[in-house]
Amino acid sequence: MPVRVSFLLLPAFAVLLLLLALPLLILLASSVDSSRQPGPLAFDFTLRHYGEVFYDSYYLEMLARTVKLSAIVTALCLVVGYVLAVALWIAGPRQRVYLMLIVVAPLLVSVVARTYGWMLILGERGLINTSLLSLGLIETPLRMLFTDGAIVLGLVHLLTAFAVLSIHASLEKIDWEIVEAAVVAGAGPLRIFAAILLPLSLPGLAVGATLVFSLAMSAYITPALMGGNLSAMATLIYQKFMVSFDWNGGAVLAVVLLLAALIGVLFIVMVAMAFGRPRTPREGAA
Amino acid sequence: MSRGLFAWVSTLLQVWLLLPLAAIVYASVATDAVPVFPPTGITLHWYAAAYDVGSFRRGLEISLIVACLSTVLAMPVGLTAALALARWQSPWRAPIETALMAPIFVPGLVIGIALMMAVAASGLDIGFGRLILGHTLMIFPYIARTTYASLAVQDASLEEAARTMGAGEFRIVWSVQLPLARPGIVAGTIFAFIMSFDDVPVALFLADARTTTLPLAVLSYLEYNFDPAVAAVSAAQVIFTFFAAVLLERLFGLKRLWGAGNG
Repeated sequence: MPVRVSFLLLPAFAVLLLLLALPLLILLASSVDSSRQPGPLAFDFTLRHYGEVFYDSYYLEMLARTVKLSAIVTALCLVVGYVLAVALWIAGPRQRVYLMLIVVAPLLVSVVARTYGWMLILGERGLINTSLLSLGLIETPLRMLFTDGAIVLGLVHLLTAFAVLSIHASLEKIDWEIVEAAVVAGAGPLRIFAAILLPLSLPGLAVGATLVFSLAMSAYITPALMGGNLSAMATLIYQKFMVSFDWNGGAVLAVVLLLAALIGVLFIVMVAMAFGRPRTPREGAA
Repeated sequence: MSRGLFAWVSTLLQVWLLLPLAAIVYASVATDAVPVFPPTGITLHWYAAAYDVGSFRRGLEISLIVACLSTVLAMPVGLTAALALARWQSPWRAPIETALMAPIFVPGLVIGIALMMAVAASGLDIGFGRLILGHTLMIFPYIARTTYASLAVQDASLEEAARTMGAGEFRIVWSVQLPLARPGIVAGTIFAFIMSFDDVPVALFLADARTTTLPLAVLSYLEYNFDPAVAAVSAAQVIFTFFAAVLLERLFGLKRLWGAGNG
C-alpha cells in the first residue's frame, strides 16, 4: 500500500519542511540579504555580511578557538569514553544497568542544573576553594571558573556519553572468542587492546568523534556559564542576535559555524577511513 | 596495565560523572548559603526558598504547559512516521529515516535561530506557539525512533493473522501494532517530555518575557544570585530525572534512546 504509507509520512514531512527546511533557507537567505528584516518581499543579494565577518580577524580567531576547544574536547571524550565503554562491555548484566545510568545521567539533567553543579564545585566560593582555604593550603581562592579548562571540563562531562554509547556499540559486535584466543595465545591487556579492540572499534570511535565534535562546536550554555559571555562561536552568535540585533551578521556566523562543524565531521570520517575501512552506521554519520 | 588499575580509573571516571549532580543535592540540603564541607547543618529550607521565588513557580508552570502541549503535538507526528517506516519496504526507507532524524542532528541553537527568523519573516504573531512549534520539531524524532524500534521487532504473523480474520488496516494498526509497541511509545514520550522540559538552546530564541521556561528562569536568576535556592530547584530535577531514567531503562533500554550506536 505505497499510497497509504506515504500518506502516513505527511505529518512528519510537513513539520520538517515548514519548521526546519524553510526556516534554514530563510536563515541562509538572510546571510546574503542586504535588508535587515528577513522576508521574501525585499530580498536583495549581497555578500557584504560575509565580507564583514572575514575581514575582522576577531571572528576568525573566535572560530579557530572554538574549533581548537572542540578538538580537545573530542580527543578527551574518546579516551574517557573508551575506558567507560570497555567497563560497560566487561560488566555483568546487573552492573551494566547501573553503569549505563551513570553514563547517561549528565545528559538527562538540564544543562543549567548540570553547569550550576560545576559552579558549586569550582567557583570562587565553591567547595574546592572553601575547603582548601579552611585547611590553610591556599590563601586566595583559585580561579578555576571562567577559564578554558572549565569549558573543556564541562563539555567533556556532558558529551562523554555519546562517545561511550558509540564505542560500546562497536565493542558489542566483537566476538568474545577472538579475545579468548588472544588470551590463550599469551597476549597481555595492552596487546589485546592494540591488536583487536582498537581496530575493530574504529567505526564506533569515528561515529563518537563526529557526534561529540559537532555538539561541542554548537554548545552554548556550557561555554557561556563556565567560560564567560564571549568564549565561543555559539555565545557570539547569541550576542549578535539578542544583544546587538544584527540578524544578518548573526546568520552569517551561524552558517559559518554549521559549515565548520560539517568540515570537521568530514575530516574525522576521512581520518577514520585512512586508518581502516569503517562501516559507519548510516544514521550516526548524518 | 593491570586489571586493578583499569577498575580504579573506571570507578574514578564514574565518580567524576556524578560529581556535579552530587554537589547540587548536597548544596540543596546544607544549611550554609555558601557551600562548605562539612556542612553546618541539614535543612529543607532552600526548597521552601525556591518555591518562594515567583519566577521559578511561573517557569515551572510554563515549562509543564509547553512540554505537555509539544509532546501531545509530537505524538501523532512521530507515531505516523514510525508506522510508515515499519510498513514500507522500499529502497527509500533508509534516506527517509535519516531525514526524519534531522532535527536531532541540527544544533538546537540553529533550530531556535532559524525558527525565530521564519516566524519574523511570516509576520504572524503566534506568541506561545513559537516555542511549542520549536519543541514539537525537536522532540518528534525521539517518539518516531522508539516507536519504530518497537514496531520493527514485532512478529509479522500477528499482522497477517489479524488480516486473515478480516481486520482492516486501521484496525490492525490500532488494535494490534500500537498496543504491542506500547513500551517504545511510552519510553519515547517520556524522553520527548524530558527533552522539552530541559531544553535551553531552542527556548533561548523562541521564548519571550511571557514564556520564560523554568531552565531560562533559573539561568537569569543565576546572573544576579548564587544561593542554594537554585540548588533546590536543580536537585528536585535531578531526583525526578533519576526515577524517569530508571523507568526508561526498564521500558526500553537507555542505550537505544540516543541511537548513537544503533546496531
